[in-house]
Amino acid sequence: MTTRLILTCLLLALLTGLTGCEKYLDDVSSKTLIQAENVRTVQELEILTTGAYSGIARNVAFSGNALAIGELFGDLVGINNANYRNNPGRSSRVYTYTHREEDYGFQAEFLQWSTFGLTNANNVLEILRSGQVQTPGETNPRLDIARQRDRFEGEARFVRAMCVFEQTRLLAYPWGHTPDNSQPGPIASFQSLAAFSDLAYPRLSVKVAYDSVLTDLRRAERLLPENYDPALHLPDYQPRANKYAALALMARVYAQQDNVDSCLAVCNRLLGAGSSYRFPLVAGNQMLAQLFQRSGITATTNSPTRDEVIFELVNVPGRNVQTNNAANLRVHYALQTPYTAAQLANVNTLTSGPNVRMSQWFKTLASFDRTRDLRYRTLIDTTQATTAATIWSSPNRLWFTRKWGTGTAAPASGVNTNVVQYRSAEFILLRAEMNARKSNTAAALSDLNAIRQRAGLPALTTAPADLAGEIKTERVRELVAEGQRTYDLKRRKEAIDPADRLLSPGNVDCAATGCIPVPWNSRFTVFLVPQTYLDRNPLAVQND
Amino acid sequence: MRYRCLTLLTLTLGTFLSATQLVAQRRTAHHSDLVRAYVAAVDTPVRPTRDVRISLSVQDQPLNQILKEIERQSGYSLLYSTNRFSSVRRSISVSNEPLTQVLTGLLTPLNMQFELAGRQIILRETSPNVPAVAAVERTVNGRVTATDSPDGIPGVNVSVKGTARGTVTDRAGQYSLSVPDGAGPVLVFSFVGYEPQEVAVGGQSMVNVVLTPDERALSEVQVVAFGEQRTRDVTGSIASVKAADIRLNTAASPDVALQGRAAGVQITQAGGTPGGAVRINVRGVASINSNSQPLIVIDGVPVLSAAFGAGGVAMNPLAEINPNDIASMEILKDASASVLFGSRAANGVILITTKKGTSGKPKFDVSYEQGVSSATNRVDFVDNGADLLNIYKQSARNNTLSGLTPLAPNLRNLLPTGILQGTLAPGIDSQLADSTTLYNSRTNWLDQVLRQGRYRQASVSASVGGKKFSLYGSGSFRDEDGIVIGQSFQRVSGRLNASFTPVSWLQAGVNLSANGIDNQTVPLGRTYQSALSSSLPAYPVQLANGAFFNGIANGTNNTIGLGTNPVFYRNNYYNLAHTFRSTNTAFLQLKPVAGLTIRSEVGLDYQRTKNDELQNQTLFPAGINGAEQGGNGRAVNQVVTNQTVNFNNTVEYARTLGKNHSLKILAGNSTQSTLSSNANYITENVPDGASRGTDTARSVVFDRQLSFRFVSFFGRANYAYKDRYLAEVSLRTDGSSRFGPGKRWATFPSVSVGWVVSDEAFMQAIPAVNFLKLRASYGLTGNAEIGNFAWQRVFTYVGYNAAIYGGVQGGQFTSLGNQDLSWESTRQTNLGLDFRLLGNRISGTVDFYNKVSDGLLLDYSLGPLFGTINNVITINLGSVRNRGVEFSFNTRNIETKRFSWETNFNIARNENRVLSTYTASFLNSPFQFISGPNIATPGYPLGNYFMAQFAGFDPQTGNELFYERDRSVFANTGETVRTGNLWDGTVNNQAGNNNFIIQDRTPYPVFFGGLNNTFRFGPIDVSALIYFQQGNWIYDQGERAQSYPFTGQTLRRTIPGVGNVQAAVGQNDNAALNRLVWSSNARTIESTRFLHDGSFARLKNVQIGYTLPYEVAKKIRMRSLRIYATGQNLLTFTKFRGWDPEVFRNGGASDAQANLGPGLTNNDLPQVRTIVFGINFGF
Repeated sequence: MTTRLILTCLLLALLTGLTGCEKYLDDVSSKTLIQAENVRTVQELEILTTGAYSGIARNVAFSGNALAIGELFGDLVGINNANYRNNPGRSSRVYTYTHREEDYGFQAEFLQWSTFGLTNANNVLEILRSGQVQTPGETNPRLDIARQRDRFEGEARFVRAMCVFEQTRLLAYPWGHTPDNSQPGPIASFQSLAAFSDLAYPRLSVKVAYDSVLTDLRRAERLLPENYDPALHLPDYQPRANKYAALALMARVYAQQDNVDSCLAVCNRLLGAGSSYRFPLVAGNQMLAQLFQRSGITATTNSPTRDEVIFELVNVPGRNVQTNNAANLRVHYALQTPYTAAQLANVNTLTSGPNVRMSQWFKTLASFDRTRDLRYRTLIDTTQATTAATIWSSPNRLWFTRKWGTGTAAPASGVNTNVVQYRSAEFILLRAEMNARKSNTAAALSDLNAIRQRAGLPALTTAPADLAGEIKTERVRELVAEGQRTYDLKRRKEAIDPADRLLSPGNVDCAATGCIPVPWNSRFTVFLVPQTYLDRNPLAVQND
Repeated sequence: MRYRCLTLLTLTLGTFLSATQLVAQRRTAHHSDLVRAYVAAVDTPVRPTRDVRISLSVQDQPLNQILKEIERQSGYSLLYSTNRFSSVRRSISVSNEPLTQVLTGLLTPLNMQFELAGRQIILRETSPNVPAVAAVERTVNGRVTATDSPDGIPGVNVSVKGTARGTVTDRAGQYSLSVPDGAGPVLVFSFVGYEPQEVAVGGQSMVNVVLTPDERALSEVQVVAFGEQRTRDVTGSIASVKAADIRLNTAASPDVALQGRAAGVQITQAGGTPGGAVRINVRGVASINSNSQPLIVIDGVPVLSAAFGAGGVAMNPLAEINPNDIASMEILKDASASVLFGSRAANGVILITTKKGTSGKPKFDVSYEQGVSSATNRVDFVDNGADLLNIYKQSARNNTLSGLTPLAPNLRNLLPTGILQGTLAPGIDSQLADSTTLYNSRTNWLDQVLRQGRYRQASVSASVGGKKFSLYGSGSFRDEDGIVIGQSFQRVSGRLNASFTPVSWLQAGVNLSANGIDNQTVPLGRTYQSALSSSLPAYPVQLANGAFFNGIANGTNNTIGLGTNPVFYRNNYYNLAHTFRSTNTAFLQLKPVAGLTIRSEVGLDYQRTKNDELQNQTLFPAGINGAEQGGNGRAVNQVVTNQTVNFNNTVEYARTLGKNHSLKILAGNSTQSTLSSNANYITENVPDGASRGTDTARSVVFDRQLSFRFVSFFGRANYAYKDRYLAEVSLRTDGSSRFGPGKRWATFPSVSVGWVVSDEAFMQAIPAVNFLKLRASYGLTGNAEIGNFAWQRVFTYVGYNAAIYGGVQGGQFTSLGNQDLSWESTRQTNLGLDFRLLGNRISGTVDFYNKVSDGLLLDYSLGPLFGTINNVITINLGSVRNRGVEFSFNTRNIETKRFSWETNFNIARNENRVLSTYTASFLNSPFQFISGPNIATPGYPLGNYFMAQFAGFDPQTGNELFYERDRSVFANTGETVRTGNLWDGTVNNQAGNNNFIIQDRTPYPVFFGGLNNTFRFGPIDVSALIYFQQGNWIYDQGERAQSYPFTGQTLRRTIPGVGNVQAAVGQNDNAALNRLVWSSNARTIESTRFLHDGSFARLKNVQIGYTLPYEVAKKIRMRSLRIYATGQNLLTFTKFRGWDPEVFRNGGASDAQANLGPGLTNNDLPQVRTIVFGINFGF
């Protein structure tokens, strides 16, 4: 009897104890780790959103690799530093189209950090959707979720769209490769992973990926503010996206889909109708300083007083993601120390300096007006030549872009500078191209002339016979080294010329492709899905 | 809310207690004659005799039986001559009479009296001076002391051999006894826990004896989880190390003393660093990623034991404990012994019990020791600039033949930038060295970074006890300079253990300790390791103009390129960690009725480390790129605190049923809550002499984060039938905040049985066997040593990490979390045997165990493409088996009055095997977990070597050849087999696709153990401990790097496969040198070329001591006086040619690298050889 009494008491007490203990165990928390389910404030959402931007801002993501890959596949650059070829760094394999063996390479770095940005964005969206952030009675608008919700959602959708779009361009056969665009697209997931079983999900098709990107961007366009508003946001959050960043990306997406009408409409929404652009072009002689050597938050960053920059990734010196000399843009493009005469005696055996230089093919394509064109005169360094008399078109006169660092100019050129992602010149030329294709010659010419005149060239009074061709050339001159070349060729379904690869010793640089032009939808310009990923996601498929 | 659970726990316990008490009291009232309390051992509180009442009714029983019953009822130990009382029979009938009255009644007729001494009652003859009964008798008197109790032992049984005569010693250990005159009489001295001793009286009238403790005596009490047990009753597997052995060790941390003294416990200390981390593996490694270190419990509080540290040196948190304060350390090895620590017991448990006050008059002990230390070994390097540069040049010439890119063999090409004059801008050229200087320099950088260490330690302790209290207090100071420049360690520690027994049924006590440590370090990478990698003998320490050469490398772009001059670095760097650690317990213990003990204890473990690190203006100059502010000195100031609060409540009830059954039940609960905080400030622009700067670069403060909690309920029941058949059942239920709702509770049961075979009648026929016990146990324990938040989806926001955008700190998506995460569990079977043979001269223990750990907490690698910073998800996956045997023997080889020799020997073998890892239909073979050159894959030991297989050198080119792996077999099965082809590693690096799972060469020893011999020649004693391990293989990454000429790389004098390169270059022996090429691709290939047999035997500890005889000591008013000399690591026997076969990465003890790479060494500091002289005296 008494034994039973004891046991019962003990058991009951134990059970009561156990239920209470769940709470005791739940009390555990950390200030260095934010548990997703504990995100309750606007500040915490800001932290996660900053994290999303930090992923894309890495110089192995959109501040570097993305801009390099878009050129390395293409024809406007060639190998400068022989060591780059001989001791293949991962990105030289992109240039030689031999990247496909790489399990973890230049593209995988990009995939890693873009996915990082994307998963942070997914988390923000899921936390918003769960409604767990509630700030009733909050009087400070900066901390009031009701006032901030739209912006958060818009930013998260924008970041996600940016990542998915670029991943699709890297990993998938281009738009139009199959009639229904059912070819496998990005590896990104549209939901945040939360369990071991979440690791298995299929690759979206290119069609679905583009649709999703456009859906995100349409929402972002509606939700994002026009510009940074100090009444609503802390100054720290100034360098983030606004609705025009979403529109700019949307214009690129439609262009990549070769959707002329939509692209045109979006460009109009972005630039405003007519020739007074919402994002006015900076003066030609200020392009270097005002587009490519900006650093930190400037007066015009995401502000009502706009200049040509629609959206840039802002790097604050000393508080930068990666502050070192190995920044990819700098390594690839920036001539930091002039060559000695001895080194320039044989320009094909240079073992120092930037990885790539502008190709001979670029010299031909751009055919600059060398006396007037400010892009030639200020954005390209042509001082390095075997002799002072070496002609501009000779392979012995080296051309380097100054866009991503010059070695001498402050601040820490090519390392701490902001990296412009969208500037109005690109979209002015895009609108011109679309208008030309729709035979809106006057509108096309007006946009083309705006770019020409800014560069110091005279306006064309009448449209040339090949207006579309002229616009394409202008695009080469204007946007070289900004990572768009390969995708321009792909969207126009133009083959990629082997360019300077033919100049390599024994044609090693184009051996993989047989030294003939690479078709627009060639497997050579599509990365493989890294094996490490396929090993962990049983539903993922390889490209071919 | 936080306290709700505690309240509930208290309620839980309260409910249980009141019910138990109620029933117990009722029973006492009604069946008091049935109540028999165990004589609780050492810690039983002493009730005043007047309060002790006895109820007894017996007819014509032998007196010793009656006294035994009185012992049981009173809780006192009665000390008397057994022979004398067994022949006397008495009848007695008393009810609730005072103890004193009962004893007086029994003893007076026998002309005897009793005397109280602590919890003992000494029964002795009323007066030795009564007129002699026999005509020819004489009185012998003397004093009985013991080696560990030099001030006399009370209650020692002194008897005349072959007679019924005897007496016991008084409080001072004095005795006096009448013996028959003549040559014959032999006195027998015996006392529980000590060796019996026989002394022929001869013509002496004074016979003093010194007893030696009988460490293995099974009547001894053994500390077990949440209590104590008689050793003879223990059914689990426990190894115990006592204070005397702990004190032999000269290391700062007590756990180092376990090495070689406990079978199956493998201990390795991070070499050379004072207070450096220690790796403890109890019965092998059973975990891939989670901590495989045992739980450490000090006086009932589980303490923080994860290694920590600054400057790349992992520190041992137990270094914060003064080894002199420790009474014993118990290693709970099997499931039965450790299951009461349930969820955290899978890797074993180490119980540390600190010293308590002893009864009697105050005792003071003072000790001082001082010693010197040096590295146990030194590896020879190419030791002068000329030879090194000539080897460099010769290897560069070899590139052409090897098929590598040809390279002009000039210094400009072979040395790093910033060394050779003429290679940098003229402005800084004067800071560089010319080639003559480089060729002529022969700087021994090891001499610059290593030194003779020095150490001194002074301790004082006091112990006092009385009827109502006992007190132990101690203080100690230790001051140690490590063998590497810039390393020092100072510790001041104090302890107060007090217990108070105001009334017989109540005891309260505290164990308080406070320790302060000042630890100075310079990162090993900038001192010792720099001397082994990039500080070339060709570099002078200083240039002719007095400037330190190559302090900060003269790079371009004003970046911080720290040079290779350790002296320069040490002079401009400062890092002091000041740690305060206080580990405390307070307890309250009630014994409301006989047999029932209720104990409640609260523990607090507090640790605070304040770390100031400073790079001065020279080391971190103004305007340097990478400075967050302007540079001009940089300071990092960090404060870390960890605080653990622990509550244990236990109820124990012991009773004997009838004649043969005894039962003991323990129930309890415990909670643990750990709180941490961390603050980190980085400043720049540091003025001279300041410890922090004026420009704030960063400040990161996380205050008071609650890290983890455990809630547990447990119980244990022991049952013994005839003291011969033993059984124990234990159960613990644990809840941990480290797992998600629904997964956080787990129950760990265990059962064990024991059979004292020697008590069986049939064994009486074998007199050689004094004691024999068989034990068997089976049980389940757990491991929860993973990150505190591994189950949750989390973002890191630490105030400074790479998730920065626009200059603002963001959060990194850190891990997905895993809601299904649960405990790692270990099923362990143990079969054991304890024996004593040949008059207890040989005793020992044999254990066999089989331990299978399932649901291993494994960090499954996600690869980099799932968007998290920790590219892992922690899952329960795979299983590992450890099984093995352990033997330990203790023999008393020779025992005479003047000379004794005792041997302790233990040896263990553990076989480790991964039974399974994660597998899925889409994987061709189970997941292989790879960490550096080690792999965890089914069928092989955890951390089996996984590397390229070296196949010798190409006779033509001298190039290195490796075996090729069959890639299709590997892709399909995960097995690594050779194709028969070789590949050239000098030219290519295809190691990634050609690594082999190396057969039969594992990081684990085939067997390991210790051999300890103790000799005593009168007052001189000598003990020597040899630690050995056999059959383990060491992978030497340092040797790999030092075997390939490369820009700015030091070279070993003897390179595997090449030989003595310095001799070769001296003799222009190009045949040998053609195996060296400049910048070989094999330079980074981990291959079997650098995998070596790591077997060794080491004379771990030798001590020679002289103890002043008691009489002499007494004359100078001392209780004891001892001087001694100790040597640590004096001799090593090994074939391993690297730094030290006792390898342990300085990085830490708890991560996967430590679990999987126990045989990996990479320029790690060797162990130290220490010689110490010391003196102890007591008064």
